[in-house]
Amino acid sequence: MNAYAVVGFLIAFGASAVYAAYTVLESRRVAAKVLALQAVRPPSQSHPLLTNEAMEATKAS
Amino acid sequence: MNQTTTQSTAQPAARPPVEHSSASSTPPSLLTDGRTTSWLLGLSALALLATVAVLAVTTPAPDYVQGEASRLIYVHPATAWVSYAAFATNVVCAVLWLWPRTRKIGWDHAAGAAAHIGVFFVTMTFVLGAIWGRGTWGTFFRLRDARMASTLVLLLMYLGVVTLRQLPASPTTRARRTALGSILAFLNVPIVHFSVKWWDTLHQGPTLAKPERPSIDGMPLATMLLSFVAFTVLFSWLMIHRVRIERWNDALLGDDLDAAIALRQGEGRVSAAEATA
Repeated sequence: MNAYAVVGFLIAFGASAVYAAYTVLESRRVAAKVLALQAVRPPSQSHPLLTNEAMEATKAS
Repeated sequence: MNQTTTQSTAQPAARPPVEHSSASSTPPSLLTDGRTTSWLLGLSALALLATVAVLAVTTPAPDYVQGEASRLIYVHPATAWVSYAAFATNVVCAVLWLWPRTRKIGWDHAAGAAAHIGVFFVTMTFVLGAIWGRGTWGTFFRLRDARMASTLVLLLMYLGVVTLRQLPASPTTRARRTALGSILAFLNVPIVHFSVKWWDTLHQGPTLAKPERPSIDGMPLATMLLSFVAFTVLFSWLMIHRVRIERWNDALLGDDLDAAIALRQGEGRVSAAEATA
């Protein structure tokens, strides 16, 4: 294999891995924000998305 | 004292109100499904991409003239295909949001997620194509080449769509803006795809999508097809996560949290003052 193929494969698979990791981390960051909001809001004002089931699904995935 | 007091008394920056009622509408179940679908797709994508990586290195280079650089056919067309798929998803969801009978904010979330992923994959297509071009044509990029120029324009247009989504606005306004931007940007997709037929370009013609037999066969063909499947599964997995991010960001919109914290801190200060009084 020449250098072009090696660099190309490194970019293709490396960038995919980095983007996937970034997406998961962003998802967790938003989830943490949801938890923070849930902590400071009275339960009556909680958004339907802030249910325990929704949070558990995100943390588990 | 200080900083906490200053923060708690400061008014949060004015922003359009968040439309919580519509934000909770449900997009297609696949996109909102939780653990099982996400794990299945994530592990499948990982296994398929690992297989493609091994095959791409061990399978013979598919083109005698282009030599080893032609191995990039095992990743470059697949990333281009996924960018087309993402932009098609984006425009379909944009139209479904614009159409009054099907309008749900969930379509806007899916459109935003698809645009984000599409920008990533078209960038990768562009970079991989430049590397392949340098290895075979001796140049990374030529502006007067129809395929390269139209791909660059496609990337810039969808960067615009993603940027539009970041501008402060109510979810409805943002959805309308980005839906119109998405439809406009998608007009360029067929131009990019057919540019190698409509104009003389450095870029080679279709390898698979043509009436006669594909230009490659055997293991190179199998590896190439597997890479299409692998990157498509990765796209599906990314969609689940990015739709979730879009939905929750909508439900929270930064200032919401800051305002709630400031409100709670204010309540605490009043209680403490009453207790000491």
